[in-house]
Amino acid sequence: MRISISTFALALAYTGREVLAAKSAHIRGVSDADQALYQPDESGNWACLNHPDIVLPLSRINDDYCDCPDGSDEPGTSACPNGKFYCANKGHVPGVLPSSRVNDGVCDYDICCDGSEEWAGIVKCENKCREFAAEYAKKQAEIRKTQVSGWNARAKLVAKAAGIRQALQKELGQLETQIALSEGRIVRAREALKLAELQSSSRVGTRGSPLLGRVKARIEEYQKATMALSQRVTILETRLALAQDILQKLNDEYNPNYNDEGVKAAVKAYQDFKESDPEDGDYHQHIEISAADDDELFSEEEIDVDPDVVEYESYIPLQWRLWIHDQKTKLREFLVEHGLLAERKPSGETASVSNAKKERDAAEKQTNELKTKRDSVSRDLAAEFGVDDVFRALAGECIDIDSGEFTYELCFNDRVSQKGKSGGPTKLGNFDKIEGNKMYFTQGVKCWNGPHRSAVVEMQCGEKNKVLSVSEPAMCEYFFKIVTPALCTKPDSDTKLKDEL
Amino acid sequence: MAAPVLSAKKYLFKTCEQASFCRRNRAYADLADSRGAAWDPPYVIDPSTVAFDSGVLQGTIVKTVTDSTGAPNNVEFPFQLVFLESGSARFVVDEKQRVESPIPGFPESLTQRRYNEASKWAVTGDLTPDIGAVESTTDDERKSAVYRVRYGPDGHFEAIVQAKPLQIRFYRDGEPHVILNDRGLFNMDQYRPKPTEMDESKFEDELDVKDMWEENFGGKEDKKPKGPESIALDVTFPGYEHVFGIPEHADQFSLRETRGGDGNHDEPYRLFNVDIFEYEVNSPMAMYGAIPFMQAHKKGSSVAIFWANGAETWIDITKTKPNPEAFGIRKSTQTHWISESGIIDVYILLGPDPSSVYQQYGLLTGFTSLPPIYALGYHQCRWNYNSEEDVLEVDANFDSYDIPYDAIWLDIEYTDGKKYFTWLKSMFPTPEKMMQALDKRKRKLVTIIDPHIKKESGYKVYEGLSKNELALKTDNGEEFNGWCWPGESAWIDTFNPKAVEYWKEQFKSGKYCGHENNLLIWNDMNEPSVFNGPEVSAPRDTIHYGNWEHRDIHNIYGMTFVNATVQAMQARQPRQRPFVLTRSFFAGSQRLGAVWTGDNAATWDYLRIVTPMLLSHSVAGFSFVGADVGGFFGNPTSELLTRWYQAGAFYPFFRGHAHIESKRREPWLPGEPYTSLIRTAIRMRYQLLPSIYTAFHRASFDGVPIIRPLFLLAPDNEDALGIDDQFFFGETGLLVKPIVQEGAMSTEIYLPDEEIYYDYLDQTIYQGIGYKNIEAPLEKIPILARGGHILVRRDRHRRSATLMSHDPLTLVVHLDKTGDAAGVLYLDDGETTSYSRGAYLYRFFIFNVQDNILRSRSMQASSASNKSFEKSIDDVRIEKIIVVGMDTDKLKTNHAVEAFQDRKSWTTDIHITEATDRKASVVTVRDPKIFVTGDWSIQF
Repeated sequence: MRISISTFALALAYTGREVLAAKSAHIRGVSDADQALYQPDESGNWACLNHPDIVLPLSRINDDYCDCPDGSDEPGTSACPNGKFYCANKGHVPGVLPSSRVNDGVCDYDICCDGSEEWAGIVKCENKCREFAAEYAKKQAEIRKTQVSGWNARAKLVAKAAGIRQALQKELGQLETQIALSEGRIVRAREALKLAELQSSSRVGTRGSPLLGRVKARIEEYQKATMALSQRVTILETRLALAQDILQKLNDEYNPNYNDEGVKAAVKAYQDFKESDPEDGDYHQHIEISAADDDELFSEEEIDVDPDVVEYESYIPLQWRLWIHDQKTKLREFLVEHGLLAERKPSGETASVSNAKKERDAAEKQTNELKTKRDSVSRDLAAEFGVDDVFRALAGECIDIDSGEFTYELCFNDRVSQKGKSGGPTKLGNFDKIEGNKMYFTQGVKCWNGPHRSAVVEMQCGEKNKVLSVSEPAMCEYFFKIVTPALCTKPDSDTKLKDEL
Repeated sequence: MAAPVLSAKKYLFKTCEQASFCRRNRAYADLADSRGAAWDPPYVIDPSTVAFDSGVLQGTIVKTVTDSTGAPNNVEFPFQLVFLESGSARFVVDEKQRVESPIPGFPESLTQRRYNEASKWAVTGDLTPDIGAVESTTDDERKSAVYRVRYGPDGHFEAIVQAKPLQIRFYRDGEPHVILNDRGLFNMDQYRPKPTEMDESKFEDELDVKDMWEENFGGKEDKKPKGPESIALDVTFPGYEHVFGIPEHADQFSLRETRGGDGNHDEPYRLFNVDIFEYEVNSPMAMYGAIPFMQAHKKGSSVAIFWANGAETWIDITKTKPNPEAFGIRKSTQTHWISESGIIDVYILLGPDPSSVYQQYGLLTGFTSLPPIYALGYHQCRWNYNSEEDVLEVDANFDSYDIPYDAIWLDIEYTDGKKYFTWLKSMFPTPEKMMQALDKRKRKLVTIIDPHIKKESGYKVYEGLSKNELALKTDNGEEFNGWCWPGESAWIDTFNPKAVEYWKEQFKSGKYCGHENNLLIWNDMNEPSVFNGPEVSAPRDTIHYGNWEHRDIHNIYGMTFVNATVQAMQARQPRQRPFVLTRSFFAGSQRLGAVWTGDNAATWDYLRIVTPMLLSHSVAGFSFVGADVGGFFGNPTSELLTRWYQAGAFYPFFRGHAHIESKRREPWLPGEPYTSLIRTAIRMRYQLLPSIYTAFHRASFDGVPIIRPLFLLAPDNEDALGIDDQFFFGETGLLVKPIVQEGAMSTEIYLPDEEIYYDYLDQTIYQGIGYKNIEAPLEKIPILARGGHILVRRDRHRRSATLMSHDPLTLVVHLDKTGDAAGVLYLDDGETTSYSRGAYLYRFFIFNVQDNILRSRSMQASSASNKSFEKSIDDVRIEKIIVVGMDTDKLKTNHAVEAFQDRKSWTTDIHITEATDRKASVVTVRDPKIFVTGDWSIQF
């Protein structure tokens, strides 16, 4: 081997003049188009391409020693750290390799299918361009096919998205109209109520029922039970706090390296428990509300006041009012059913007042519902769904992949989740945004000792929506690769041209 | 990003107070100290037993004890002082009753002897007594029971043994350097059956009888069937203020005192291999490995001792006040060695200089085996690379970002249920294909294989282990089971030769990883780590092959496991040099592979502690050392990560690693400018590979480490002894100071001698002992090149170390203050064992200021195999020679020099950068067209 390189080096060392004479000598590692850059000046010298002040004899081009800071004197060797080697790859697409891959004993066919970069003979790289070109053509055809059908599929999606958008806009218009109507209904209902109340100025009273004594007794019993329940809750809460303290201590102080599966499982379960624990389970409040309810409901005193004052429901916000009303009605029904209370009509108000109220409540409820719906529709309309709004068409569509241990599901514009062989799904993230070829999902279920799970979805053009792979590069950070027509671009005529050739 | 604040779970690990034998021996030392000159220890040599023959002085130490009847009784401890051919001395003390006839009532399941095989595992060198050692006792001395032996090279060494008070002093050229039992702390528990009832009054000789026959820690009982059997000895290094070694501790290099006081420890240094989770820095706590080797150095002298004991060991260190009468006006270092069981087996190495000490230690415990060169490249690890696709994507990214690396690592998650030798098929369906893909760029795959074997029916590795009874056993002879990664597991007992054979089976080519031979192995958790065991390890009364208790061999176990793996890999790939990384180690482990400092964290403190830790390993014979670059736990800032790569490029073992809960941090992830700076650091490492490999070659035959403390090159500068944040790198003369401070823009480098130093990157000159300020912005690793060294580089970057093997070389010559320089180059095929049959190249380069000639000469005998190796690299040129610091006026011409090789001569161009008042001249010889094989010279 030494001989060949020595000869090579000597050849360059002693043939400066000859090179000058033979102007067309081919410079290794340089494309035909760029060969012209390696012409000597009149005195047979040449200057580094980006450093005209550094002038070399032509013999120093490709002499396996780096003279030019830009690497331009060694396009065909590995001498310069920043050089580029051009391989012609006849019959295929030319390639450019970093010079560090020249003569390193590896055939870099993916870039130099002609094997020309391994010219020193450390390894023999046969020319595989024919194979590669065929392979390439096949691949290009496939890509082309995918692009064409993907582009067509995308066009459908875009059309669908436009349709959805249109429908949403239409719905928004309708909602605005309905809201206006509904608000009118509220105004009318309120006026009707005022009128009804004026008309019904009759005295309101409730005579003590013959059963009142029994009722009172039962109420006391009921109140006692409530108190007992409340105390029980307090005790349980104290015990829960104690247990939580113990677990918290375990969580803080256990040695993860022990890896006692029992301890680890307990800690994890505790973390999950903490995650899922609702902010404030205030049972007392519920109990107190119902107790108050009873007090007022069964007040022994005769009431001689404005019914609206008695009807405390009027003071409660609408959303609670309905619930409380419902509970009260149920309780009353229960009492009536068990003979504790005489059946009666809401005696405090006339049918017309109560009907007017119903109408007012219904109108308010309807308006609220309509507004909520309108807000959601306008948010939806304002959201970004990629170029041409294309992802809008994919709402509601889910794709999944079985990766052995888990099944991963991605629902467009919604969420990604992971499902084990047993147990329910774990949410890896809610749809956050689309940027370029990536979709982001954030705020999934919190990891044990870690962040909230999240996922990045990298998309490429494909004929159909499909998950290619899912990985977890860092703990609780997931990475999906999918194909979707939504990402397809218009096939350019170039590709077509090449294919046809 | 908040870095994790780490503190070891201290409650998991014993203090000296909690280890009864340590507590008792410390109390014994306190008692001796309190008695002062009146201290009358119960141990003396019986003069009638003393005899010298063929390099061995032997006799019996007698301990007078008072038994329960109050009558004095004698316990005999036979000793041998062996003078070895290698020049070291060995002092061995055993207990007579345990060697001789059976002791009634001794536990039948256990070997009656004290454990005496630590040397068998640690020492591979020749232990033949030196018949050249001569007794030179005078008659007067004999009368007063003092014995004198001359030994060592040219009889420069002398040992003086004194019967009462028992003392052995080692002299070199008439000066005492090591004194055994200077303070009378020699102590050995004699065997006594467990008393039926503990009556403290019956043990009036004992200071503390608590826990002598059973002991509890952390709710775990140690049955101690042999009762107390501790050994202890004090060793004084007279006139030495600094001692080093006894890794592994996350502490400064110069060992601290351990009896309290400002800046000192309160606890002794502990050697007890444990899986220490989130270890603390600046602590004497035990860690993953143990090398009971201590070096003492002072101006003009280096000596050492090696305490060959595999049981739990504690070492107290104190320093005396200067004593003008005894040893000049210098301080002395006093050490107290306390082990739980075994015999006293201590080697005394008398230097006289650091490299002699390392050679002497290597002649005992063996030298670093020459690693394959790719093991010196960059290793990319993470817990975990999750799938084949993941592995190959990381692999491809190194190429996309043009960063070299040599091995990608798989942590435990690649297995099916942490069952080693299996694959999680859903993620790694075709591991062999993956390995073939890596092999295209000559890269390697490293899989983790741990000693815990999942107890699961149907798992063949376990079934065979269990059926053949090759696992550790409980004290009642059943298979020992405990918890580790896989859940309930058994531990292979690699003390058992049959277990080693069984282990070899598992790695067989075709059985594991197909027939691929780009497989390297990582042995972790081999302390052993037992999650539910006492101190996260195996119970001490667990039984090993040979009926030894775990307590006797605890610190050796990890090494036997790596030994089994190395043998298995040698059997699998007989031509290849194996590479095995271990976490646990013992004296002698340097023969088997590399070690890293375990589970550190991504903070500046952990980056800072690496240098002193690697220095400690290095002086204790373990050259192939590294630390997790980036920090294992937590997430490093980009700046910390970059600085860690810059430091890591100079770790002998260079691996990035990260915990499963940390974010990914492969070199391209921090982005610019960090990625480019990391690339530069890694490439600098690869550039220096010929020099690093040469340094490993030297370590492999004379033990001089890669990471070298300042005193190795400046042995007479005592001010440098405490400096442990910089080091010399291999044979290069490069003085490296890793930046371990956030936001640093400059640093102070200490020059330990009067030699001339050049900034390695810009040739700025520094000279004169003391601190020099040097710029160190993020893009700069502060490195000075000491004058007088010639280093060899390969400046072309490739994708892996193996792909560089035909590349030309660059010589960098840093002239010393007189204008001379020298260096060596070792080259071989980098991966097979053929170098051991002479297939290598070994050149010596010298630049002589007298004639201004740089010469290359062979350092090897000509042989057929080196001829054939030379032929295989006869295309390797020296493409560039850079001479720094030359007097350019002496050049014959300003544009050419003359080259000579193969009886031909020719001129070759040079380029000159003239010196300025701050910077040295640089003369670059442009492509002299000389080849590395064969002699050559350049006339400047």
